[in-house]
Amino acid sequence: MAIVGIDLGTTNSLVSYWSDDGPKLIPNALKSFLTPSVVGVDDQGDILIGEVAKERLITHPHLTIGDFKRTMGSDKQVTLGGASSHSYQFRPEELSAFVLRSLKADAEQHLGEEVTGAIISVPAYFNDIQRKATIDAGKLAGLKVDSLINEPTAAALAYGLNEVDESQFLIFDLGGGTFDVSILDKYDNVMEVRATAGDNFLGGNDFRDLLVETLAGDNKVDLEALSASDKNKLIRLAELVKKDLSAREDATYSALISDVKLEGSFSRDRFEELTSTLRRRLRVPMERAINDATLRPENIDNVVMVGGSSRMPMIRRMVGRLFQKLPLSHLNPDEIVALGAAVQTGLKTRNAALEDVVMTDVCPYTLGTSAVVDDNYDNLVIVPIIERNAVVPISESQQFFTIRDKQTQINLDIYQGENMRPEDNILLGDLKVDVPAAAAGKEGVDVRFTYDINGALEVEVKVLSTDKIVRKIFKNQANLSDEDLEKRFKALSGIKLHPREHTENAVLIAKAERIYAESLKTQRDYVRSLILDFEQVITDQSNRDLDKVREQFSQNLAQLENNMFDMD
Amino acid sequence: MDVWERLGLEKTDDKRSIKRAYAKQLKTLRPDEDPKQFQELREARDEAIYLATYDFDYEYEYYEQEEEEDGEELSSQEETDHSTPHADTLIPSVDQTVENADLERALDEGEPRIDDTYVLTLEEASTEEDLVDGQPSDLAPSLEPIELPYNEGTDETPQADKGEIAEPSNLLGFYEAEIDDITYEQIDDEIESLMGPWSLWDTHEWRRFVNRVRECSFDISNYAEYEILSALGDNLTEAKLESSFKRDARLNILYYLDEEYGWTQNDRRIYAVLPSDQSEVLMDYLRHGEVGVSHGAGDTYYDAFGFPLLTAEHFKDYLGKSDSVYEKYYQKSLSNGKEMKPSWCWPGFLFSPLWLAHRCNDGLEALAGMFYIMALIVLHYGLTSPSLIASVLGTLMIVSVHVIVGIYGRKLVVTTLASSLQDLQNDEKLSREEKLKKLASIGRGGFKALFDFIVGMAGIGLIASIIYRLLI
Repeated sequence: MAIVGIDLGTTNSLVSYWSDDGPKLIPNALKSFLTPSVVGVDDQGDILIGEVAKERLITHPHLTIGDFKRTMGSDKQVTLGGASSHSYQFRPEELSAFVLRSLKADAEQHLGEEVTGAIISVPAYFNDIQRKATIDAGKLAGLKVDSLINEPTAAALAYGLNEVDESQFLIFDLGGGTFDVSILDKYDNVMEVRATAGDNFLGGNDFRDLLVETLAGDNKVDLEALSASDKNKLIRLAELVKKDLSAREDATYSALISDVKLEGSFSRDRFEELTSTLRRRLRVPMERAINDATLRPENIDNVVMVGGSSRMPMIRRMVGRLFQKLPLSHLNPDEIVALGAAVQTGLKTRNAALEDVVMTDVCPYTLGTSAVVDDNYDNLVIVPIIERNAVVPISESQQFFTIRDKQTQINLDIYQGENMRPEDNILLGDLKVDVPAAAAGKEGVDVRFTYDINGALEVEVKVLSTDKIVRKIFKNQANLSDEDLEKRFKALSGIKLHPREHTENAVLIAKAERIYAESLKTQRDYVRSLILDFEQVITDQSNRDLDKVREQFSQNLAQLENNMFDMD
Repeated sequence: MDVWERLGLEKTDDKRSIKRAYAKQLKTLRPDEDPKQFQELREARDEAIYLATYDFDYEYEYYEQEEEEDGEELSSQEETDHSTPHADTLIPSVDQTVENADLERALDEGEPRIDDTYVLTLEEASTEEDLVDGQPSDLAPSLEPIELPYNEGTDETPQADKGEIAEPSNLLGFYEAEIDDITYEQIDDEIESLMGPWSLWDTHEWRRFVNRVRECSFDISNYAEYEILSALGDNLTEAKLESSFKRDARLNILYYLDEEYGWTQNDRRIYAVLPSDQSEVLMDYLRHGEVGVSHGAGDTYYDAFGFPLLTAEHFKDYLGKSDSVYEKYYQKSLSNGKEMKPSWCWPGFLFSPLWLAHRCNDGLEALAGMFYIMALIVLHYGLTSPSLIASVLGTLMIVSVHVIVGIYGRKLVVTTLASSLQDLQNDEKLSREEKLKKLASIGRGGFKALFDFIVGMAGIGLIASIIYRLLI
């Protein structure tokens, strides 16, 4: 009966727990803390998760999918398997559920007990719908999601625990797909989120995609005409170039994509120039968070870098320049969020070591309803009830009155967002309340919004004259209904995950097959023979030197790969 | 329940102790289990901080500013002298026995009151304030983190470090990159050229400039934003654009800037209506909820009323546009100060009386200018009749006066202007309105000083010639 913390990322996911010595990460079957958030189907119809699936993105592009966090909260379904006999249709919640299931298995293996609950981190700027989708994903994986925690808040918890008292710091969280900024104030063991802002569609992947386009343009490759497999190859190449540019000034690359040899070099300056628009987009949430916290940039004591993409030197330089401070990244930016989620589990279970620590968070967006505020009855505007960056839990109310004689119903549309016009915001749902017929303005309702610590909104409407109360907890159409959830949970339970103990071999074979797909002629023959030999050894149960053979196989592959992507 | 009671705290203006009390209370309840109590507590805290900020801090921030500005430490005696009269004049003192509720009601009604205990606690607090909320933007703290290891992964990471991690090759280089590549002056120049009469109204030029400053530190980029806004307020409002040359190009720039900075109509209106320094204060208030703090180039300071102290901008505003030459001179006085070197000035030499009369630009002084010319003519004719020596002497005198104006005129104007402006700024007895009134006369003061000098010279010459005539 354990509760774990989970960082469900766009590119990588991690699982952690609170031990007596503080937060600890849990390694997966490959002894790595990072499990790529990639899901695939193998030839037997089993589900592959993590490194294995990631390797198969190139060899089996129609059987594999990554980056699904960006579609969380939408109805977008993915078909895995296509025409083959093992074809599945998955919603983003279900894909996330597979990753969660794999993480759960890792945790149970490591802790030696059943894992029932989890605290999952989500980007602070995730809206209500996306949050609910995340909770549903947990349910589908058989985990009770005790609460959600905002990613920058989690990072702050991990960072703040060791930090000296009395400081105001900014968390700069640039992940694979999302960007969040939070400003925290720490004093007397109280960690208070002052403001949060972000961009749900800005992350390291956008930097990479720009690079993909440019690489294709440089080598006169038509992106549209590329097959899915070749496209994934190109994305992989861009990923490598991007990482290489973090380490040195110039990256040279050479790769074979659809029989065209891509060759050339890419300088860091060029990459920086290419991405200047993206970098400027990073400014906006920072400015907003600082303004919302009624602070000035010089009041920020420290800037903490979180998320893998914050490793890019240009990002650090930009942050350094903006704040005139060296940004801190002494905690591993990939792991800090998961560590923070573990701290939150400690707080939740009231661990003795954390008794004195209190954390308060904010609601990152404005919640309100649409109403008429002037004489023009067609002119609907948003009336905010809970303003953004209000500390949660919070309960606020406002009164609204009828605008027409003998009006018998008041219709309340509940919106989330910062824009004045209702249509520019996200509609969370609506509520209809019957009122007695009377002259315009005589009848009214008291609308109370209650926003709890997990980001769930409850709306309570009280008719002033009759004291009749209508309550509604919001659930969007894009989310699954309870019956649906139940049905899908059963369906998912029927699907087998690839056995955990075979993961290591599966990864190696997937990797070898990827290398096979990327190479030509004699090298192909060599790789094929390696794969076949290795498979022979695996099926031949009698071989006791499996570990040794595997080691050798893995070394051969590494050598091959180094020759292929000779980056210098 | 009273906010102070809820926090379990005596009334105070010290934000730190309010926070401490809040933290203490917060630990006795669980926000997730008792949301109602938590909300109450939080609201009490916010209210307390609000009271602490707007009843007390206001003047103190001003004095802190001044201390920083002067760079000299005021003794505690002086500090008391500063604070007490302000507390007395601005805030009528009330009896200590006034009920809390009464005090709050009074505050709500915009009738600030204070009792003696506050004055006392404040004096103590103002020194602590420096530590807690004071924000001297010294560079020292920013250099400290250099000691932190630039270590990306913990040692127990089982996966080998793949070397994809960015390791700044040298920290020094990193710091060099942190330094902004544009200065405040360059920003002013750029904006002037982008807005000026020779501007091509090219959106690309603007984009290039905005991109450049947006990559800089918040200090620089905020400064640039304010400067652009204020320049727009003067030149580029939609109303003014209706009939202007290259209207579409200008509108495009306006829309581009609006989009880039996310300005609202309000932001631009503020800048269009108010003088730029005041609008900056207002914008600061709207955006940061604070007033009376210097920002940007660091040369704007605010007086006790939250208005900026006088700067070059005021010359423009209050002396009229044709007198922009004063502003130019003021700018010169800032850069050269009293050490300004005398330099040759042709108009000063050739037309010294006319030049001065034009610059002085005042009824009386124009008359005095006429008197000066008459005096010279009289002197000249008076001298030519009796002897040759006298006429040569008179001519030399006129020439030498012109030479003196030509050489020293500019310096005298600038230095007098600079010193009297400084005196005015440092004068604490005058109100803001009075200062503004005086400013106009100071603007001409430099020329007046020179004029007095010349009239004096002419007078001496006249007297000398009369004595000479009498002796002959």
